[in-house]
Amino acid sequence: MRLLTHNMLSSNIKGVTNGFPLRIEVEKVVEKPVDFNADFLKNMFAKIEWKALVDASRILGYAELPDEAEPSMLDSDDFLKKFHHALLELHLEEGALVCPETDRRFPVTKGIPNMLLHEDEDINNSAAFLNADTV
Amino acid sequence: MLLLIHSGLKTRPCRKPYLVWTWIFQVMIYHLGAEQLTFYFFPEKGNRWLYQPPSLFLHDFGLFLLCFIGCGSGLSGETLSENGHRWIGLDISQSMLNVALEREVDGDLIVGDMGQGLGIRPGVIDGAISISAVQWLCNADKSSHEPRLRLKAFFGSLYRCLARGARAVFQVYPENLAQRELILGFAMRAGFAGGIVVDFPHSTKSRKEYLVLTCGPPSLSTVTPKGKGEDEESCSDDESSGDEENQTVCISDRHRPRKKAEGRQEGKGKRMGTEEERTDEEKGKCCASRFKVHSTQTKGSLLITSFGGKLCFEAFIFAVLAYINPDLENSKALLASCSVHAL
Repeated sequence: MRLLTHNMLSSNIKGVTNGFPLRIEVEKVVEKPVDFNADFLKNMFAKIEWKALVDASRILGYAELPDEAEPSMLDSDDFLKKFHHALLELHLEEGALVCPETDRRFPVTKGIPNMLLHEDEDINNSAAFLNADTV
Repeated sequence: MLLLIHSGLKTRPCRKPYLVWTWIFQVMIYHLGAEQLTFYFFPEKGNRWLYQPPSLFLHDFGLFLLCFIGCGSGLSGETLSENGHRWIGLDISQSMLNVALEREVDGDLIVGDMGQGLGIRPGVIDGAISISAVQWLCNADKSSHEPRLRLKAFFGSLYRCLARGARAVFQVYPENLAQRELILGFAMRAGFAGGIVVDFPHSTKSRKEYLVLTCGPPSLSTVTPKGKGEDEESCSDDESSGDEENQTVCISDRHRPRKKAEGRQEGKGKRMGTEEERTDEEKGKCCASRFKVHSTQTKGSLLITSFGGKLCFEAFIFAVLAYINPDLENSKALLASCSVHAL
């Protein structure tokens, strides 16, 4: 799982109001080279939660990203290279994602997080979801 | 091939664009034949011209982050990667995703159940696709599954995670009309604009249905592509009739189905429909892909679609006239009379 995906995922357990960012428990990290594409990075920059990306990349052992980032930094090749590496080349291969509110662990095996919810966590089983206009 | 003549844009390609367009139209008619050209005309504020390339399914410029729902072994994801998009694949089956891993797909994979909601942060995804997956939401595989709730959770979370104006195109295989309406209904309730597009509706073999949705209020960007193989020439089961360039686009807009039906009753551009078409019309359902000619007065736009060479030619002439003559009401009337005349 790339940090790009980590930056997009949030916990959707029933009752959780802010399921982002998921905490990372690391067992194994791998790096896979990806073609550098500045346009994609520039498109994505606005959508990335920078703090979550910085924290996640540090947990995965990459500490090069600056604490703060602003759009003007996208002109710097050096910054883009670091951004690219953190966002797309670092993979969480084995470990877990942990919901920040409920501490529920979502295991990550072979780079694939398992986000399946148990029945009692499913939003569909929540009473608030069963209102008159849905059924 | 699609030409969109649009009036509301702020840029012009050059000082005398109509000369360029005259030339382009002539070249295209010469090479493709007028049958394959479709003209849309939106005379709103001033008359300006824009060429729109054929693919309207997803943004065909720039690189995007897409969500592939029910990605399975990731076979179709390769096409996304080839076009330079990044994608996040979601599938309920770990074993299918293991196959995807062996194939070394470029996308990131997640085990998840779309019926439980997508679990993605709001507004970050630029588009979503799915192939033969969404209809499974209509099934209850466990006693705890309630299809309506799962559809609501899915479309609700999808609407949240998509950026404004983003598109979602799902190929679906609904079992029957009720299922189709159920799926479309929940998509609309979640806030999407769009509709169902059917390719080769007369064919049993190559018939395909797509749910084409746009996140956000109806606008020019919410036009849904028209299904392939709807013109008379290609209604046979012959698969070779699928011509890539034969794509056209109609506006499908859930807020205006009744007005469309009224427009048709007035006799403007009226065409005899099939049994199915009439049924839909009676119910006031929006099933725009079946209409050949739209004449809607809302938002001051006129939309002309036809494969008839004569109509295309006349639409072209009037489009040029309308450019030269900025009298909008007049050009609208001309265009309307043109459509009636040609049919």
